[in-house]
Amino acid sequence: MNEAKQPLLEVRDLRVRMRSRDGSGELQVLNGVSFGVDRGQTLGIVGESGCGKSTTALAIMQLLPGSARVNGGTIRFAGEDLLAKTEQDMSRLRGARLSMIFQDPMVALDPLFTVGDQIAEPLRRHMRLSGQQLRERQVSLLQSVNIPSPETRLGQYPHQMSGGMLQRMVGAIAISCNPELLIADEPTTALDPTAQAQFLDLLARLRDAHRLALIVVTHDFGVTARLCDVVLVMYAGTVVECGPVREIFDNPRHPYTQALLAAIPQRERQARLKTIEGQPPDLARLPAGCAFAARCARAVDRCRERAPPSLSVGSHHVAACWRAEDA
Amino acid sequence: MLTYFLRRAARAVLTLIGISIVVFVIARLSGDPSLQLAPEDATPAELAQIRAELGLDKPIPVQYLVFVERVAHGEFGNSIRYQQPALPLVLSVLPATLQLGLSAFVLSTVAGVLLGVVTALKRGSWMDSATRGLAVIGQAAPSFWIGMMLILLFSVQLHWLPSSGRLGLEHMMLPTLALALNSVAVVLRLTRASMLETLSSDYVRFLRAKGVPRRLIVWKHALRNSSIPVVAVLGVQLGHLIGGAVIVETVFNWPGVGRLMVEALNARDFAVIQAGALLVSFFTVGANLSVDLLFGVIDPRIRYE
Repeated sequence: MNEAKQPLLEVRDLRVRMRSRDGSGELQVLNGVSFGVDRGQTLGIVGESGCGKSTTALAIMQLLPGSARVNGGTIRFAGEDLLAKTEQDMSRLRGARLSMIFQDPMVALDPLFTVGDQIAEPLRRHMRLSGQQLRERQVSLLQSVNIPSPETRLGQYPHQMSGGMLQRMVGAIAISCNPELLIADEPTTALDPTAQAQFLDLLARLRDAHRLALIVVTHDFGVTARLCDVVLVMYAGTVVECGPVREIFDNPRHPYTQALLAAIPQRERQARLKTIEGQPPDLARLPAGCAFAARCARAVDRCRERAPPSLSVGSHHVAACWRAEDA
Repeated sequence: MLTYFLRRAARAVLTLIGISIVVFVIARLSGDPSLQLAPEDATPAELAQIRAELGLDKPIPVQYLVFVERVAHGEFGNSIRYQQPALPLVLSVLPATLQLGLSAFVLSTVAGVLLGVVTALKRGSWMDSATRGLAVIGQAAPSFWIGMMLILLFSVQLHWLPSSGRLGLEHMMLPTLALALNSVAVVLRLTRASMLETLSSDYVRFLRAKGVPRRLIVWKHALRNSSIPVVAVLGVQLGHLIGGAVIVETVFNWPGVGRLMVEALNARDFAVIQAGALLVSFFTVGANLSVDLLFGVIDPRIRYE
């Protein structure tokens, strides 16, 4: 295979099973997810709660909860098989070459240690910094995420900072060792609108400065439009549509994507918020055909009988819908 | 932090005053010591005279104020039974009780925390189930019963350890174990629960995402966070242990404050009861105050309150 053509991160047919919450059995929460992302590029993973977008992110980091396990597929990072790595090897990669930040910055840091200490941890472990060098790196990292008077802030505790500042602090920790891949799981959901905009700008700036491969997990198409090159739309553990961001917005081919886009509140004609009728399917009882068929206005018999394959509907644009080409 | 500490210290002083009132009144409700001092054929007039000499003819509030005034001068009065000052009497046996209480405290802290952490990490294993089963028994069984069972097993059957007295280290082992078992169980269960909660928290997930090794996550971050509720309970446990020593001392014939107090209660020896109860309370309240201070050291959110 041509090395140059392989993206930095390549996920192929990823499958994850999870014990159901009532302990009665296992659910197939990811059912064959594939995508790739390269340095300098931003991939947005969009979908409703429970569609498997966070599970995908956690599977890449090998941070799935104890109740979940990967039962198929491959995750290749810079040519290496991440699924074959031991926990010890993964802990050397995490924070060093692949990093992740989470939704709620208020609980992301240990409340009993100074933020300085928590920034120092990956720097000590992965870059073997100490003393003056460590101090300088800590300060410059805080500066790079626009935190004023970094010297003072390093000695403070998480409860002494606002959510927006904490999320920037978390961002600084995540990029502290110059990772190649950064995964941001709903990074702005817990922030107020001003802090949201600031943080998205910061992510874009960090991506460009460090040539990061960036994966943003979100349910907000606004975030996608601002940040992403490629969008992946997920539904019930599968990818229903994937393509360049402009294509997805201008020419969505999967009925689910179309419904999601139609549900974005429009400032001009705020008559009534459009919603998608019905509920996502129970993962314990997935239908034989397309998982979205029950809620789809355009579903035909074939949709209910057989799951649709991913069809190419344009340049780098695929949709998993029997009727994608009819649209 | 200073205001936090001063508030706690003021509360501790108020607690001690409250305890002194309760102890004082309850001792007087327990009976009339003049009956024990007087000859069997004493007339009511002679009894009244003895009461007057002891100051027991005055109303209880007045007696209490006299008592407080004396205590302020370090005077706890004379033991009726031993005919000597009560305070030195109690102080002479206090080390035995503290030795027992503190060794049981150290045992329950170290064993409880270590077992709690290990069972949390090995959740669901046979060791976890076995330890938790034993902990339930340890928590349910009263210490005097545990004490007697230990004597039956290790002294009567196996002849490994002495059943009474206070001579060497081997005399300490059974009473310490009998006293500590309940606390070990309490501390273990709380540590385990607290540890499990901490390990599933968001910041532990972020620590893993940073590549922090498991051993650091457990022993640096998770243990410190889990220790907050555990420390709170340890303060209470220290009080229980010193109080519980009273019972265990009787079972093992351990010459401490507990045994002295039981004798004093039977003899209505007010001065000894009051001195003993106040000294024990002093240590218990002091322990709780240290715990409050420790909170400030562990948790910056309290320090900056």
